[in-house]
Amino acid sequence: MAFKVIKEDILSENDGVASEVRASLAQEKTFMINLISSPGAGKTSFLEVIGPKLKEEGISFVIVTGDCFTSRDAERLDALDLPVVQINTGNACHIDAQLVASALEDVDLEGMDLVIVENVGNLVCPAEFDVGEDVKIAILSTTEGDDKPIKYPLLILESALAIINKTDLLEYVDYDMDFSVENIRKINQTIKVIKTSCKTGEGIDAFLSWIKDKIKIKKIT
Amino acid sequence: MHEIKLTQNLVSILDREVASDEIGMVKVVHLEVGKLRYIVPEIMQTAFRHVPKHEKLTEAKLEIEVITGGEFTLKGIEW
Ligand SMILES: Nc1nc2c(ncn2[C@@H]2O[C@H](COP(=O)(O)OP(=O)(O)O)[C@@H](O)[C@H]2O)c(=O)[nH]1
Ligand SMILES: [Mg+2]
Repeated sequence: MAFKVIKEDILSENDGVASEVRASLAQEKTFMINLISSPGAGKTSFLEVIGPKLKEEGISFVIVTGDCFTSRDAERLDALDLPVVQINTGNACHIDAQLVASALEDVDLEGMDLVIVENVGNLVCPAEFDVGEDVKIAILSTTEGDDKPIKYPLLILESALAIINKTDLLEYVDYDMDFSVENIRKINQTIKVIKTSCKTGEGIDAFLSWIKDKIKIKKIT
Repeated sequence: MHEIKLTQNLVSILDREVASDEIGMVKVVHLEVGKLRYIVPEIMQTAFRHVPKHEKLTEAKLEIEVITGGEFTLKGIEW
């Protein structure tokens, strides 16, 4: 038998396209976030809340939203007059770099401050695929159980920010916030945690100041 | 679910590698996969059997070694 040593990352093709996306965003100094959560944690709701506020602040942005079969999320965002590009992901359990690259072909990035990718609802696959973002953001919620960070450590490891959404429901669900945050920190010592509610608005200002800082830093680097 | 997409990526690397004349019918493909990838080796094997691939790969078996961490690497091929 003959043997050939190869040593190639299985995701090298995807990562190559992600690097191209990253380079074109760098040229325009556009910051990109990749929102990842389980279905129903509140990605679209969060965008419905922060979108109008970003507009008020004069931040230019576009939302790239992935949906398996429908355009419901895109319609919800469009109803608020938020700039949105829809990607149909079909059966795919994640958005990959090529899908984002194609979506951005139709977007004029000149002067764009922020690109927001709403990934497909899934805590496993999206964490693996670099789409050219500056940071991944994990959105967890109080209704899905406090053990999700330890069950899906790769996502926590890969994210710069963990949002724990639906804090307004804390009194109705058995969600041990300390346990959850402790586990998040055990997996990733540098991750920032923001607790939010899309109903009461808790934590939204904290997020806005975090994102504004990130956008500012991108502009000067 | 992501095993299918990852298998397609694997096959596109392999197709390129086996195109060379010196390589015969591949018997084993060696992979190393980190636990954090949540790869189910059996699903990966099934996906590998079914995705379209170079004819030199049609009898190949995947040898998947599970390691710690998050790497997922094609280590080499035997023929
Ligand atoms: N009580 C409460 N419900 C929320 C909150 N955020 C989202 N939801 C609800 O959770 C459901 C799923 O939200 P959606 O934004 O579609 O989740 P996505 O699948 O992650 O985009 C909807 O019924 C929302 O109204 C929140 O902070 N508090
Ligand atoms: Mg949604």
